[in-house]
Amino acid sequence: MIQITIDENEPIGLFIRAKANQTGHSVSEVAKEMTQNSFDATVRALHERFMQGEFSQGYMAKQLSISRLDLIHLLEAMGLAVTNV
Amino acid sequence: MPDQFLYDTSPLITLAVARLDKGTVLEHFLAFISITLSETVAQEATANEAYSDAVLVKTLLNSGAIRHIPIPKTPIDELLDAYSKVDDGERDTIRLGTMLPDCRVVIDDQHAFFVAARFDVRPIMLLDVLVMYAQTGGLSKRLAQNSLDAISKTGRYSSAAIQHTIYKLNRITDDPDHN
Repeated sequence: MIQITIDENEPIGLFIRAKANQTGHSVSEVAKEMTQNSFDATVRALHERFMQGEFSQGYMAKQLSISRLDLIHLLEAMGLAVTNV
Repeated sequence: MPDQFLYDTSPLITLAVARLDKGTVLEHFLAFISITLSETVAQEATANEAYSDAVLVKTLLNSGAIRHIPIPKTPIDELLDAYSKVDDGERDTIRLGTMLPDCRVVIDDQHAFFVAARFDVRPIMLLDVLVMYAQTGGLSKRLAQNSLDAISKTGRYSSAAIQHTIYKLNRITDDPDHN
């Protein structure tokens, strides 16, 4: 389990609180959903460009600040193509 | 035909994870071919020993079954390093490839493949290594097909690339000595 602390006075904290109030979900649920969505969007946006051959797999790993080995296993876990050939 | 291959990280890891009989395709391949890595790829492929493929590659490196070579200074360093959207492992594989003319460079990446081709290191996709060895009898057609099946199950290649490879292997005439 990974836990993070978000300052409620920061814009992201204010947003999470506001969204939780509006939707009736807990602040934890909203924060978790936001993190998941942001992660998915980041990886998928880079992956799409990788699949188009805009840059290499190693370059994509560097953009995500993880090793190529970790990227290969991450893409596999997400059900995304590991190679673009 | 060259008997040595210089592997980039992605095809190496694919071989190390694809299961065939009681081992991996990588272990089967090493009976037929010589695999060389740049030092950078050796580090990339073993960066996290939480993965079984990394552990296998590290074991094979330590035993000398896979060779790894430090990155040399080359006359094309400045030109190669200017390709900023190819990262260290791919670049160093290409760099080493320019110094080892008997090695073919195995790269499964569009952009790195393009750069490798421009440096005349004769890049080849992993799937075409299978085809090449089956064509020349270095690998039996049956073992090539079984290896392709194992690689296909990793889900790392598009259906188009797998189907094309099946087509290429099917066109190879059966040789009773190799089946």
